[in-house]
Amino acid sequence: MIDDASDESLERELFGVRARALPTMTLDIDDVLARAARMTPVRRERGMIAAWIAAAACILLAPSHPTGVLDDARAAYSDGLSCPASAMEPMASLSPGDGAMCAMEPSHLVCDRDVTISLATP
Amino acid sequence: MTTLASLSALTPALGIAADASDVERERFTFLYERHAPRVHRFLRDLLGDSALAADATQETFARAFHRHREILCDRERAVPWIFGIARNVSLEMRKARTRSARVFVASDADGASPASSPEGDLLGREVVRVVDLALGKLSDDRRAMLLLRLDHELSYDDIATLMGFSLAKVKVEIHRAREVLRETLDAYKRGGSP
Repeated sequence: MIDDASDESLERELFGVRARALPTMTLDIDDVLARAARMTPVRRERGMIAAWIAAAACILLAPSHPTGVLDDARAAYSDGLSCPASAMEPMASLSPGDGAMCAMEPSHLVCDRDVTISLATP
Repeated sequence: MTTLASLSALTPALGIAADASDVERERFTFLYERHAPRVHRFLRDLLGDSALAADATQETFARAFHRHREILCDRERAVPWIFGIARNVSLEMRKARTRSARVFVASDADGASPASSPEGDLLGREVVRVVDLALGKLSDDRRAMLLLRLDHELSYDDIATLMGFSLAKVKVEIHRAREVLRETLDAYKRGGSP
């Protein structure tokens, strides 16, 4: 086993003398900051690309719609039309393209085609 | 859109836009002024060229600036971390340079010295010459570890983390490097010339 606790004081002193004898560099913090600023756009670009790739992957991999589930936001008609929840105001009338007239009520939706869909209420 | 919202939340988390306040710049400047000379010395010892080492030092601190908030918050970790960047920069610069048989050369032992007396100058030059000779006998990794331990006084744990080696390997490497240093010094003492 190597004894790492052995006395290093002489060697450290040697390196200390050497450090004082070696030439030092001219300090220039402005140059450092300028270099850092030049690096930033490259890093930002890389970060944005990574973020967009991640977002695209999320969009592609996520299921387009939870199959067979009707949530509070949407209610499907039996004839394939849908009413967004944002339009669900008391007694608001909808005019779907096929001419069916619907009346919206807070608790359920009634259409004139014998279609009644209960809406989930909180 | 949820995706866009999460994107905008993600971007700062990546640490990309790290604009520093005046106070942070001031504190970073203090850190730079305090540690740049020793980082320069470390890089000079790794690259064997004082001018190249100065460039590498600037590059090291420019890279460090991107994480300045972490550095300024955790000063204990700052020094080993900066030396880690410095070593990476030296490796990159060495790769970029045309490969020579031996990178390390005692290039500027007779350069401008801050030593105050002629005796001090002479002693300093001799020490630089002998130590540089010993360092020149070491492999790059072993030399870096010896310098980090004896010149820059990092702990064995920090050196192991910085170098990516096990603690046991670091201890063995430094032990062997010290043997080489001692042998070189002994030879110098015996014959006046190592």
